[in-house]
Amino acid sequence: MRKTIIISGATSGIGFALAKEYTINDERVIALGRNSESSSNALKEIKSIKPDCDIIYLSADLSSLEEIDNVCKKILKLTENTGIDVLINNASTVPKWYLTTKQGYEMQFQVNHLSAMAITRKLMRGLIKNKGMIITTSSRSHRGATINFNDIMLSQRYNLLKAYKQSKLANVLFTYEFNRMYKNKYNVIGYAVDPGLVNTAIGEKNSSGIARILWKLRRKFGRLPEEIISTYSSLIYNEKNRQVDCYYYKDSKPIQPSKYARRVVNSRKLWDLCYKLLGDSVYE
Amino acid sequence: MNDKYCLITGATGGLGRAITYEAASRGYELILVDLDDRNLESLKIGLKSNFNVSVITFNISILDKDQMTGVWNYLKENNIKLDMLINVAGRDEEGFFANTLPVVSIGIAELNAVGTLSMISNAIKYKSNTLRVINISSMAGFYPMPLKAVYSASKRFLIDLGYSLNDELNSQNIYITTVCPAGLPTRADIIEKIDSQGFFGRVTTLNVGIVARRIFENAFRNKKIYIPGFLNQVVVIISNLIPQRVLAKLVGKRWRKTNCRISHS
Repeated sequence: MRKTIIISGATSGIGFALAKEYTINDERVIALGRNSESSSNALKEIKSIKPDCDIIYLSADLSSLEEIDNVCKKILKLTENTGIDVLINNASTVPKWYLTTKQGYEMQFQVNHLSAMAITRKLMRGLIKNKGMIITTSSRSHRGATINFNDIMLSQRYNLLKAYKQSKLANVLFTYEFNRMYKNKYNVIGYAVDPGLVNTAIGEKNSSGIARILWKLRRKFGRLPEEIISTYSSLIYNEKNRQVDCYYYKDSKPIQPSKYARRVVNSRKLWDLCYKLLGDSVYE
Repeated sequence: MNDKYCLITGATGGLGRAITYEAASRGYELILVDLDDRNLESLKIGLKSNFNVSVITFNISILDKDQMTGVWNYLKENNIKLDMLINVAGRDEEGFFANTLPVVSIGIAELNAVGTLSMISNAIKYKSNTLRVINISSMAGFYPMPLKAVYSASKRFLIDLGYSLNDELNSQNIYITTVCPAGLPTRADIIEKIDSQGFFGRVTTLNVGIVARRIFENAFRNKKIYIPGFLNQVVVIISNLIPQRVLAKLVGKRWRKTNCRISHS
């Protein structure tokens, strides 16, 4: 059976490598990119490898709840008959300055975490149909981080790494809380993946000066995006993983996320807060 | 009645959003006036999900007298007394004066200077016991600025207006704080400009969330002028010692250089 796979942040880095891999594997891929220019470039590259590919790129700025709403409606329409097997929440950003979305939310928190939660919720119908799975790209940097519940947007103490770590911790907390609530109820399971150090341009896009040099240096030691997608594939193609009660994966193996990430109080608190921030009634 | 009311213009921009959040976190009921109705609606949703305050929105231009009458009538009918008025609405434009359409130049002067003025002159009729007015001017208001001639002059208008009105109105418990920030990193094009100014741009720049909090703190200390960032304060003090005609030359040179750097990158 061909799988229907949705991938966000699919125009570069890990997301692009995943889109390429699963398109070549003959799966049906729906890829999300921020703007149509980067999307059409990505599509061109994939088409040059596999001319008869079954991939479609949709444009959505994940900092906008409105655009998330619209793009999810399109996805649901496209997957009406097939359902959704896998949703990969992979989009991330690391702005140097404290930026806010139209709603007034901090940019990293919105794009790296809230958008994943919003997309998941909107696509639940399709995921339930196929007993699907959600994979969220997290990071080792969630270790040692905590959620700053007093100022979750970090408006008074923004620092790009602090905000990044918090958002990646939020990814893990989201995954664990999701499974607590829905894994048995709907047979939909969530995973967070630690891709390790990856050679992507994530830090360079928005930095300059010394920070840019450091990101570049760091990148040199990273593995190519193509090398780490095996972790995603092992989750998608290996049904046995579902038996394990650990939802954080690195190098295709389950490992424990940080203690903070496993505590129910934390995940519950974050879930409730984010649920409110996403303004359910308005956007449903 | 214990509700505190705060009217904010230009609430949907980067600084406007941060100020609106700060006001909401301090428990003010909000009256927001902005041109952009979709962004206004988004902001309202965000505020409602974060804070337990009422948010009333008017999707109008502050320059439209008839529409603004609707706002003032709303205050009158609902017996709302303003504790704060925050004038964020403003426009920036740059380029050579001769290449700028008159409608654009005049529009900037009208919005930045006349718009703010008309807000203040109407709002004082609806003041609570105390009315604090915060006007968002700019560091550009301290200098004559070639290539930003009208913008900087309109911001200078706010600085002088603030000083004079404070002298006249403090006895009636009306306090005006004029905020003069350097470029704030809120949009991609401004960030590009900050980056293009190199080291100086970086060290004179503060995150907008912190600026919003400090604006309120300064207003409550009845500060007449607030310049965010220590270095920026030093720059203003030093540059005040330089004659205006020399300053105009220096600033013009720097803007031309920055302009070049941006257009070449």
